[in-house]
Amino acid sequence: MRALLAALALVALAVVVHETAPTDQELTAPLPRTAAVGEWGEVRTFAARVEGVRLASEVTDGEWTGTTGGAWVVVDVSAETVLAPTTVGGWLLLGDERYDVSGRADAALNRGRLSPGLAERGVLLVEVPVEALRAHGDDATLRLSTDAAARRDGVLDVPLDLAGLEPEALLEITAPERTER
Amino acid sequence: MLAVVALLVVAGLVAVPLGGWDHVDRTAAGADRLAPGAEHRAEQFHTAVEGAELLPALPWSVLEPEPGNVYLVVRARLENATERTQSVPGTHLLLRGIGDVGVASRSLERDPGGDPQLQPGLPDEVLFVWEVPADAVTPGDRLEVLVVDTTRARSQVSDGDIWLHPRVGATWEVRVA
Repeated sequence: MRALLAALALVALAVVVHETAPTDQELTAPLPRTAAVGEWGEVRTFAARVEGVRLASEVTDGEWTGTTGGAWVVVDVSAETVLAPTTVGGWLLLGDERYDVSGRADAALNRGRLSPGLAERGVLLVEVPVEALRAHGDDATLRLSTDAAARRDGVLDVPLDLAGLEPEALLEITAPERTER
Repeated sequence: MLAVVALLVVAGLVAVPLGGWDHVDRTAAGADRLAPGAEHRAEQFHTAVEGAELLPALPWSVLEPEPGNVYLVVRARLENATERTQSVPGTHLLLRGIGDVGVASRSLERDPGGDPQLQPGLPDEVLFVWEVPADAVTPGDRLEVLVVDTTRARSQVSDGDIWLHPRVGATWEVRVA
């Protein structure tokens, strides 16, 4: 009888462990820290501040013009790395969808490597459908990261309200430039 | 020996009602044959092959083909069917009947030059480019284009998903311009 009870207890314990164990996704998820627009935030590999956000139907750096079937979310960002030279990019979360920062514009901040302690100011571009902006623009999050996966690494979440923004027809962007943190 | 033969027969009989062995699914035999412009819907991309043309050079590139070669450009409309940005793999479209021409390079038609990244909900025209011998295909030829479907699985070693079990999902026959 005692052996049976012990076996049942072990089975119950196994069920509890199975049901409460973190999933692979939870075990390897990024570690987010949140910063508001206008505020510096820092994680293990970089620090950044989102200074503003605009929408555009087209963007140009003078040589390249980016068209889209949706809209460009143009984010003004200052950033510097902490440990080593690397790129700072990320993705925009709108509802359940993830839209990666575009690599199409040479002048975008994520096209060059940033150096530790040498902050630069530039733009990040994200191409999104207009319908997604209408549906979820009031609750968007820009997740900045130095890695597309950021497994168990720090990422910086910046909540954005894109709902009230009107897209500019053509927005001119410029190459990153040095700034002070 | 008899036992091995019996085992193979039994295995074959079991496999038939289950759809046969895996490699059967990877051939084009059972794939839909679509007209140019008709859409094939799959887990990663919805694809419609629209046409093909031969070009002596690519207007957006300074590179030139090797002597005796030309560029074969297949235009397709693709829509990312997932909830996150997807790169278009070079093996998404294959060609049948013109020999081994390798993996296609890809470009957005409206912004050629870079690796196309498709956002969810934003269909786009994508150009698949192969460098082929000039005598392998000529204007007016009919070209069979195959789309490769894959199945989504969660990656254990990198972020997000990996796409497994490549198989031919549909074919289009287009006239080369």
